[in-house]
Amino acid sequence: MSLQRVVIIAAMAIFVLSAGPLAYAAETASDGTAPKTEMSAAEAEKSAAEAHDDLFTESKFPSATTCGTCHPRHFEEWSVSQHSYAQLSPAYMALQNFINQQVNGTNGDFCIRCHNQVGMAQGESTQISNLERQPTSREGITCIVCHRVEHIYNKASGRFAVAEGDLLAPVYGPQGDKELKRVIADDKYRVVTKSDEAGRKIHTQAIKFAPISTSTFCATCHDVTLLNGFRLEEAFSEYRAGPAAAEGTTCQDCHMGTVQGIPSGYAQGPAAMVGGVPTKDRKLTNHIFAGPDYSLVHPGIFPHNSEAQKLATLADWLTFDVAAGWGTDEFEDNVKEGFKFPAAWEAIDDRYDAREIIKYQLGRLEFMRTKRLEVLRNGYGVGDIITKDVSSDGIKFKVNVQNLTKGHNVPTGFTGERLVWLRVTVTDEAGKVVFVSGDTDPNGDVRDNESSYVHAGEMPLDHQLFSLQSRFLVQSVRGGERERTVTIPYSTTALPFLRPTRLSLILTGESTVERNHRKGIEPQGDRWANYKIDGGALTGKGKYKAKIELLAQMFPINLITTIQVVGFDYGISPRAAANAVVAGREVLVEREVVFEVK
Amino acid sequence: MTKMNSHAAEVHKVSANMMGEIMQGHSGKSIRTLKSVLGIVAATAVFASALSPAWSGGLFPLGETTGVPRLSDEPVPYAVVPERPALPLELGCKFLGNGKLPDGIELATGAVWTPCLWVFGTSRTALQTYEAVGTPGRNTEIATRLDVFVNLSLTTTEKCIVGIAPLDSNRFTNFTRYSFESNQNLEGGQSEAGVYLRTAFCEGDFGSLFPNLDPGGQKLIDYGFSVGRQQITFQEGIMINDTLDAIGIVRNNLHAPGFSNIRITGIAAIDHIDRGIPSNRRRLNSPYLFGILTQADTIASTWALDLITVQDDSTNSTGGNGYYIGLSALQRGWNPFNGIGTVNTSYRINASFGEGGDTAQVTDGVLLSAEMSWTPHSSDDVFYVNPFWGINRYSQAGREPIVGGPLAALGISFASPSLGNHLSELSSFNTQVVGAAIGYQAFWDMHRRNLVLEVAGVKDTTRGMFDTDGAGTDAAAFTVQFQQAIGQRVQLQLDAFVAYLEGRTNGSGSRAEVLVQF
Repeated sequence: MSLQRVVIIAAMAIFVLSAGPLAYAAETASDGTAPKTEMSAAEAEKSAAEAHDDLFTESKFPSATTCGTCHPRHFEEWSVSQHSYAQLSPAYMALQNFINQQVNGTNGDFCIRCHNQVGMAQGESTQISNLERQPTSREGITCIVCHRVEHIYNKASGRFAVAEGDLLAPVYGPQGDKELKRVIADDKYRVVTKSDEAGRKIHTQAIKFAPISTSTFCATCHDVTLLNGFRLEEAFSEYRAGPAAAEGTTCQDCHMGTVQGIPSGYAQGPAAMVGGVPTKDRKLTNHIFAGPDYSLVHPGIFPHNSEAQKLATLADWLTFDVAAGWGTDEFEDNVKEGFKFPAAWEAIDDRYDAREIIKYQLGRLEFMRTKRLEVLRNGYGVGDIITKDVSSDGIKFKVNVQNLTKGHNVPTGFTGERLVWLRVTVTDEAGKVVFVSGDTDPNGDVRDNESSYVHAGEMPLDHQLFSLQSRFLVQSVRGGERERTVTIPYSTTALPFLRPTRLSLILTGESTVERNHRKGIEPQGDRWANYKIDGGALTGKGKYKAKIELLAQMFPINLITTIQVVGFDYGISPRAAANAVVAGREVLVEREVVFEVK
Repeated sequence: MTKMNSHAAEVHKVSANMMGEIMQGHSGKSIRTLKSVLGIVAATAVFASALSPAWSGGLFPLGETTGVPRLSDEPVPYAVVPERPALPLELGCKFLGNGKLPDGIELATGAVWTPCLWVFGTSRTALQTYEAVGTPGRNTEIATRLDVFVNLSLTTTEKCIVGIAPLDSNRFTNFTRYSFESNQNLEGGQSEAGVYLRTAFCEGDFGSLFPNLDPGGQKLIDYGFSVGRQQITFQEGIMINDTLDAIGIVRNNLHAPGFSNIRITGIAAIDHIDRGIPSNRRRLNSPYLFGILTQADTIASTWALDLITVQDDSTNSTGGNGYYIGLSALQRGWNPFNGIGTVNTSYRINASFGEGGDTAQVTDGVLLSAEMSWTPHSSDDVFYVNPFWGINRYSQAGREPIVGGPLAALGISFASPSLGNHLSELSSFNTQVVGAAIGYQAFWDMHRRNLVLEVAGVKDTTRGMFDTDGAGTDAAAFTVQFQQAIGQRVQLQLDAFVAYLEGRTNGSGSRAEVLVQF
């Protein structure tokens, strides 16, 4: 420990100052004092119970951390993936709780069953905070959710059984257990296959499960129909009807290969490192699964990191102020005497250790961002920009937006909340903006019908907005249907109540009271965005430059506005959540074109 | 909120006063005058409010408003939301409940079935009084209906469901009830208990049912299907809204340039078809129905083109072959009024043709209709204007006996509650009219309370515009509907209306209904 750190710790032991604002201060006591440093008897009892629960869960549903011992590469990829973020997402949890609030609890475990198979199989509450869940439950789509599945369930909307068993129980994979048998037989790996044996335990069988390499396996979760007939997600159905399927390209070929979003071949290497000894090289699938989502939670919590989990609990991590610079020399050298840290972070060594972990975590998130851009840029393109008319009466032009994939529509999946749009800004020679479409309101929403500012009449509707976001529609009591951020049919009944559909909605493909007006672009298709600038908006003759950007954001801010009433997990404020969503917005394509008005 | 409630109370007060006067037996002329004035005032007020919020001040929007949008900088407390209400019977697995799911049984086809049996349903009981279209005279009664369903879920895509209604036989006059006043001289208690099979069908997806035919999921075999007795509704019920013994097959997610989704459905039905002529309402046992029904999403609109034919015994005077076509475009578009936001629009053209002209069961005609609605700033309220124009005499391909005719989708005044001797306020079958329904729905209590005010009217197109001899079918109604959710399973609904019916006794009615979901 450096002399500097010793001095700071000594100073903190003498002086007590009030705590400063913390970016993630959920666990800070309301009276301004730090949480107690010693466990009460009740807390100790609870902690023991939690530990017991964790062990019980591990005996039936091993954690990814356990798998990561021998499969570090797979763990590393998975731990930053959207699969591993599935349950941690505070936005999804709030959406689920909001829906259940609105439909009198009747949506039950529909959302969380897919996001958290282990927790639901264990009978966990659907609505409790992630801080109260078992570690494997928090891992969302963890290893065993795919590798302990004994059947191919097809379009199951995420409702299927995960086989129970401890680490020694069989796993299911694409290759069978030829290599596993070799490892078990080879003394250099020093593995044991019985629970009462001392040594490095290993699963006793790796059962070949060919369907895991097929698109049908992905369909288990990636084609979602509510039990009232509402077709929420149709990625697999789109794929099955598209050219990629006809050519024999699988979901895995594009999303588990070396490059995200295109069929790019697979890496080769050892599937496991058993006691530091690699197994034989084989085809390796990439478990990053990049997509449009990104993390809103504290970097001490996500990506999953076993070192972070050893250093502090999730609740403790929420109190670690990353933005203030805790654990950096700049902060620690200048921290005021008596600054009161939460109990978990009173030791400067812990703060430095935490900072090292945070640096690593932020690096991984940045890496994941590049992968996200990779998959999105392999999916979307901007083609021709055609000028239709340029005169003092105005400018007319159109922009071609393309789906570059053969696999499915773009956007796909949860299309009602996937925001992909064009921002077009036209400036005159002096740099004055004469036209803009696709700009955002102060909340960060495009100016569509769901923008809170447009809805309140504070800002005008963006009539020329080009957006590929599908629209959730609900039936009004009369007057047709209208857009809603979340599809609750409260206009037709004051008591929305979800039960199995009484009609055959397979024939109509939609519920009688809600549906998804899909706006995505079909595989290899395109759409034209048309723009018209009135002559009155022009500032005279000369050149006008149009900056055209195709942007992507994981979901619109109005979703946060709508669901904020139920609160977000981890004590995140709606504003902080919205800011994080906007911060993750990406420009996929940027183009410029110049018009000359003569 | 208090202010808003007082507005709602005022509305009820006005409505109650109006009803009181009607019930006291004013002369037809005075009632007509009162009704006309109230209708015009209400419609004008609501419409003017929509166009000019500043003029109406606190009256508009009527429901709760959200004010200036703001995302909280402070964490919102993590809410405790309602727990899942269990079904009366859940075998195999819970309906959307946590816990371990069954492993399932793998069939020879490769499908994995995880059978779960669920029982659920709805109970409705109403105290109601009604006099308007139909047989002259007033009905005042307590009527009840119970709909019970048994759902056998095999997978998420395959299921079979059976539904019975043990307290009614699917006619207005055949609900279990106690009548205080009856236009059929049937005062007293009437039991209609029995086992009436309303629903019995199985549905699924061939791709899921026979996965071994395409283990890789790369062939276009995921056709949906449905077989059995089931309700078939297309064009919002304007074209068909009937329970048929049918088989249907559907192909979804078809791709074509410019379309985000295309769906094509084919159906064939035998027997059990109710062809929508009011005077001949009965299930027919000989006709066959065939239909091709399509829907496509483009970036601006959702289009639907539906074609149906009913092949009946044309040599029989009670039959006749019919052909039906429906075309619709649904979208959210620009509106001509500054400051009211986007207008939701649905435009529909529905036509019916009888082979060789009008028959007993099908008549030539076209129904043009539109549904337009918008949401006032800062609220979730709905303002709607639904005009329609019937050319000749449009008829549906099929319809349930106790649900409304082709106009039912266009206004609550044209729709019956489907419970006992309380029919619709205005005829939903008379399509030789031009008319409109103008309404406003307001919400309170986190959408758990709502109020609908509607003015609707029709002008008989078989008569001159200014004929006043009382021999036509001109009609108008003012209808109020109030709904309040109570707890997790109960909804209270109150309705009241007054109606002017040219050449007939003016109508009026009110009802209070308790609905229980289980």
